[in-house]
Amino acid sequence: MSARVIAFANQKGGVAKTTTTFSIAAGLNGLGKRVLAVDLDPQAALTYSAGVDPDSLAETVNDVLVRRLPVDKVVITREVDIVPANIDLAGAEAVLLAKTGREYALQRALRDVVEDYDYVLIDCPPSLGILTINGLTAAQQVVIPLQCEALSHRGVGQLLETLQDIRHFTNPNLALIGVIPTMYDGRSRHAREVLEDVGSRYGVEILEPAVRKSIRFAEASQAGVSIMSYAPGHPGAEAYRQLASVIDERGAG
Amino acid sequence: MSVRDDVPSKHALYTKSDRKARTLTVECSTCREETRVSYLELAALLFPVHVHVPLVKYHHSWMRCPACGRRTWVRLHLDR
Repeated sequence: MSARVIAFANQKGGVAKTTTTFSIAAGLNGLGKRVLAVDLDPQAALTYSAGVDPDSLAETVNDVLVRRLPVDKVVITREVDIVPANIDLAGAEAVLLAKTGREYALQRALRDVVEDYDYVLIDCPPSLGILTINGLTAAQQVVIPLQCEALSHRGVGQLLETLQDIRHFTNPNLALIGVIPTMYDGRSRHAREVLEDVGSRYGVEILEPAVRKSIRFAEASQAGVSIMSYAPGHPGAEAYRQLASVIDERGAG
Repeated sequence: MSVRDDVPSKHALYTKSDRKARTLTVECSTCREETRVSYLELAALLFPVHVHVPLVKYHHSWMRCPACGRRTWVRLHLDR
């Protein structure tokens, strides 16, 4: 059976996209699923979080997109399989823009490996450029990590417009699973109000539980492992385990 | 919600938005590039000899690729 391809996208930076992608990947792996995580961000935070030095890599997702190198040539196995990135990917935007069918570069590349995995998770960059469009075109579903603070709703609105564009131009079946609240501070009324506002304003589902802010996530990234490996009993690890189960159930039917 | 027609700039990211009338895309089996050409350019690529075997092969036409310049099997798309 082909993998479910899920993109994690939000053009706002610093909302825990990468942490969410990697943690959900580790959570799904804990459920016995075969997972491939694709780093589509030139900042290579996912690659780094998985314990790989991006600057030491000779071949990355950039070569897959630009030179059409087969994906399996660049896969690195850590907690889950990773398609790594480094700063070279920044140039891929310019190269791809000149090509016909530029939106399909990642979808085309993943065709060779989708039979080998249960899930392919794509960590999109914090922009709405051609790399994000590639991620959303290759995906069947989208998850939006959302930092619970003011102005977050603007980012959701813009992203929902982009999802409409994607459905119109390249991927009519793209579905939104929902929003994952990150860096949540349940003690503040503001965080709860932001979530209620986003849910009611855009009619999107807020997935539960919310993930609380914690220094443990940064420590796990520094150690090159997921929060599940670094602090398995931490509430953040438990939250992502539950969210992985929720996401897994959404594809079960 | 429909796609807004008053924001063409962001739509420039999509191939479909720069599709022009009377063009088609050549997908090369050798270099794997996809290149948009006009009908006039296609005629030049077909010259002096070309072969077409529709339904038999995915890359069903043997002609010169506009990207790599080699004579090879390609697929022609009217709409991509």
